[in-house]
Amino acid sequence: MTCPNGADLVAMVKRELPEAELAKTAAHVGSCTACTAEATRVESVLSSFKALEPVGASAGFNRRVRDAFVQAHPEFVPAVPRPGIFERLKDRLLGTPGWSVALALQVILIGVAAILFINPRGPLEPTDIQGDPNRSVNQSPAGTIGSRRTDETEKFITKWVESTRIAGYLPTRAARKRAMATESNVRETSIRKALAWLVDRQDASGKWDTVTLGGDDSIAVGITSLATLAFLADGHSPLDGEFAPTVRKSVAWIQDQQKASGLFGSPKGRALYNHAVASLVMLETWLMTKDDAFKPSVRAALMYAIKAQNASGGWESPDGATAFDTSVGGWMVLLLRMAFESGETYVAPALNAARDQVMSVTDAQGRTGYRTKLNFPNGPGVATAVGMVSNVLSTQAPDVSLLGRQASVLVDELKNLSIDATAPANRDMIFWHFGSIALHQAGQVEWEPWSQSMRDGLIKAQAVDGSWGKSFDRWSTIGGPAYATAMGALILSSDWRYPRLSR
Amino acid sequence: MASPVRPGANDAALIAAIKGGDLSAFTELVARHQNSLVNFFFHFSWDRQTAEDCAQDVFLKLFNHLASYEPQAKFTTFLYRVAKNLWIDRVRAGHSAPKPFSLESSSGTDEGRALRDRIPSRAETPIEILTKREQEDSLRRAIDALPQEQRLVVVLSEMQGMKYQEISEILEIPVGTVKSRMHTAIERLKELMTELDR
Repeated sequence: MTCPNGADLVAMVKRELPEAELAKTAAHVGSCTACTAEATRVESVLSSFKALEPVGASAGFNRRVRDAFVQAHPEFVPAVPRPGIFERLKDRLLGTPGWSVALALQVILIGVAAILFINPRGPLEPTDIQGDPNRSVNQSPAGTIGSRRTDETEKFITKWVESTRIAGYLPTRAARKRAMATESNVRETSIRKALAWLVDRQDASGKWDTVTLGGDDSIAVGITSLATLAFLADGHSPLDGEFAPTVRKSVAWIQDQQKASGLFGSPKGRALYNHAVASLVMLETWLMTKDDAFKPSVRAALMYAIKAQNASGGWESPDGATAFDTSVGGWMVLLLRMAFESGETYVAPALNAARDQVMSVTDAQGRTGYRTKLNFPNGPGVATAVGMVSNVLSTQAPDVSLLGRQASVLVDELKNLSIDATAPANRDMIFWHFGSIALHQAGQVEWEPWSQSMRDGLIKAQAVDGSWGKSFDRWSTIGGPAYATAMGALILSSDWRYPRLSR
Repeated sequence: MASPVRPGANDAALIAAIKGGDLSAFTELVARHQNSLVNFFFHFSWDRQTAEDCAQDVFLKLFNHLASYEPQAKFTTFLYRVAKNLWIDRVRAGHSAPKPFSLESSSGTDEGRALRDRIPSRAETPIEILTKREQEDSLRRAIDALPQEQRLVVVLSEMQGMKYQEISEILEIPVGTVKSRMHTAIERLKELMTELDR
């Protein structure tokens, strides 16, 4: 055989020749020094293309295209029964106090139920509201509304669920705007200083490194996740806000820690602390960006959290090294309730089981034990705050009488764990964090004085550099300054971080 | 808004659903092809924003061309035909002259990368990163210097991983022409890269 022409030689290297021709050409090249040299040069050029890494669409691209498409083709916008009323109602709901939101939602719910049950068409199979194959209609209140649905009511429910869920709240954080408009800028400045401190200490990979900053490596994922939550709470997402580049990097780092099982980080030690906080980051990021590229990660994380729940409704470390722990439950309850609000209603049984578990270790005074009833290794503060969060954030109606007792326990415990305390052992940011969420969600009279005390104390205690120092509270030896600074910013954001959700 | 999961639905089924007014089928189709399409345009523009704008235009134009799509044809062939025509039109209209490329601007090219790609690998030393960047710069300059018809073949083959047969269908030229354009491009790249390395 004579030497192949250049085009055939390139085609041979790229395996683009027909089988028979490829074999013949390859045999010749193997025996011809000139052709071997030429083939090597071609291979060298082709392999240099590997230096050009593939580039994908950015987060938000899909949403942007969809919006542009709908604008160009308005006929694709799903028809909504009673046009106009819905949007006006939604606007009103998002701008009103929590109790009226709850009331209005109940009215809508009753209306939807009425539509469903008077539907003259024959029974339909129970249908998953958003087509999620993992969700059972029997697993959630939304899914058990009824089995008679027409396409119109299906569309209406979908629209209602999607538009009233927390996704509509997080990107705007209307409450933040209201709070900031009616107070001096001291709190805003404090949060900004804290975030700026975090920005300066984020490493190139996107994480807040416990090795260089201080803190226990076993909660490295949790600390970076806490820091990211602080940015999200202040309205910075991977796409929006002054600190968007910081959030982009940290969210990417957190996402890289997710295993095929859905777990974020290592299954050892404090795995479920890490997992719960990281999952909350991914969920809020998904909701704030409205980018469905985050959805698989969120769903895998939720499935892992549900599977990791033990038979009694609590969570313990996957490697069995740590027994049931109430404070992990606090993060999980927060995660599951936010997931429920965002339309992932299949989490409801896990959420309510968590509540039942916490209630089972709560005594008559309203104090929740750390691992068992009357077990208070660090005082009743953190566990009771988590107990109250569970009481108010399950999908069941909260036990109002218990809420009152729980609020009293928290206020009493604040005397022992005050921000003004001089010893770090007498300060507890996890207690203040969950206490703030619990009292805000419950709308108790204790909320205002508690909130004022948090604001005054934290702002006064904040270091000049914007952090809350290396040894600010009893958990700082484990969490380090990034933990304390993130928690400080989160506590200061408590009244706008999430809307009041109690039913 | 979440789009329904459509396990197993092929592109033709999605297109049929889009023709029936199903918006979620459209978003699913976009999700399937957005990365490869942005990657395609990036290797012509070296600018992520331009690449995304072009990809968006393709998806929007696609709807107007769906009437001419035949379900038995491969969808990606149809998609890249629209993409190729759009790029050629932009070049002709003078909107898409390749960005001048320099070592100084290479640090800014991170913007062109996907979110996760921007995180440097822990395994790479600064020298390795610099060497890689230099290789990348040199290759980009060489690709920029190729005539459009050769560049299209190179990008579709090497960046998009397409076979000659599919490229010939997209560019509507014989397979033999694809072969010869690829060969000419490789020869030209060899020369250009050698010159740039001097």
